Amino acid sequence: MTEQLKNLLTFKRIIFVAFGICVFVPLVFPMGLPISVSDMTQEYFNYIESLPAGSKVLVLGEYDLGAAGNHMWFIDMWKHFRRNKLKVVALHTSTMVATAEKRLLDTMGFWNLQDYEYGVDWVYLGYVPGGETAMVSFHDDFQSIAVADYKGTPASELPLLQEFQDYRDFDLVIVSCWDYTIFARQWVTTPETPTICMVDTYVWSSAQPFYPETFEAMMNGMKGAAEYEILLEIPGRAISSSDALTLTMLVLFFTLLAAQVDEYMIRKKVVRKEVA
Amino acid sequence: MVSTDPGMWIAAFLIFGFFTILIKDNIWFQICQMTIVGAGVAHALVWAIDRTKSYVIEPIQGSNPDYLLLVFSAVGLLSLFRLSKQYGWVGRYFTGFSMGIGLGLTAGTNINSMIKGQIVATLKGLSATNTFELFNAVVVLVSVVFIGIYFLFTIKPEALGGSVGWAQRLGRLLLMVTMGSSVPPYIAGCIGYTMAPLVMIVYDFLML
Repeated sequence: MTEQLKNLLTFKRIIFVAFGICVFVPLVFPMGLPISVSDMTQEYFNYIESLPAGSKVLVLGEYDLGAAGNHMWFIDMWKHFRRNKLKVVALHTSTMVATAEKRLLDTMGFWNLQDYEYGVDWVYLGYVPGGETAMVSFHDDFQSIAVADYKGTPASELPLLQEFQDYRDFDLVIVSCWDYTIFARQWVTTPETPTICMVDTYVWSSAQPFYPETFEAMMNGMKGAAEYEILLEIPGRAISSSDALTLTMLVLFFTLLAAQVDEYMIRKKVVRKEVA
Repeated sequence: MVSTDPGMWIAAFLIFGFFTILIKDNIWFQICQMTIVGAGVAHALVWAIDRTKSYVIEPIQGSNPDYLLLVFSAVGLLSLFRLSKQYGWVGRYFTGFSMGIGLGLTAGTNINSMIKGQIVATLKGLSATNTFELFNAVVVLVSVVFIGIYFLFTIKPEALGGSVGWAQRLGRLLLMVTMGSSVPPYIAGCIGYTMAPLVMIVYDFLML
């Protein structure tokens, strides 16, 4: 082995390669590892499933472009909305994700559907500037924020947007977020308008205390999205990716274990030296 | 079969370029880095212009113009004074205004959701009828109390005898357990972020 190759094959790089293999192989050759549906995802699903056709739903997005689970959830959620004929208004607080979500809607061919008409059954507002300030305004004065949709069509030309004055006109608020604290602070909803939350796995643990007081149901990132696809009976990318996630977590577990053993051995050696 | 969409080829070029940093810093990675920063700024600028049109210009030009929007837009424009060395201080009015709004929006609601809401949520579990849930609620309450004691830095353990020191040690242990339990979801989240571009490569670029 040449010196150059030796330098290249550091422990860190070997782990990166192992991670890469664990992601690529199950994506190309799905292993079908079992996925059990958690109670929380079931509860989340039931909230949407229990809404009668024509119910009004507000979808608020506040997550990063790299949040794979939230993107997968976005695809599944819109399929669910269409299947149950729910009236939906959606928006996002990030410019890049708003564009990415629009692209997902393009891919699904949602804009020209006959059975789920744009402007009547659903509206995509796209990027809404102002962050937390805009969320507060949206909560209390819907019309002041929903002035135009993603394409710049004025709200007056979109019949669905005329039906709302504030959050109380919605039957359900769905939040998909990274920084859940904005919504925990500002979206104090009523029992008639519950808020459910799809939270990025990144912050899943710290968001737990807000369930069920603030968010009446919660779903956990990519894992939750895979469980959701099982409940929806429409296999998608989340199920395909769950094998990769499981394998990478296994690699991570064994890496951590190896690091602990290594650290223990080093300490033992140091103690022996000191005694000697 | 590989995608014929030129946009997807550019995306693949950028994704592979970003992953080359795992080997070492190189020109491909640097090109990708600069491209994505430039494209991100350009994209945000286009959106900003578009939203200014929707939220400011069109409402002022409408049949019932809201001239107050001009005042707030002027406050926003004050931030541009930062570009001047001589009049940079004017930009501070914008900063003060924004911070004032931010504080006003979050101060009251933070007390309600982050303090009152959390106390209620901690105690509410004690009314559970299910034995497991009740046990869970007791563990949560005990953890909150002991971790709270750990953060009472103003009291020296020696001053109040051994019991406070013992309680603080238990609080520290519980704090470490809590932090430890939040690490796996955090790492899973990181892996999810890494997986997003790879999923795109496999399904949208390679179309497997």
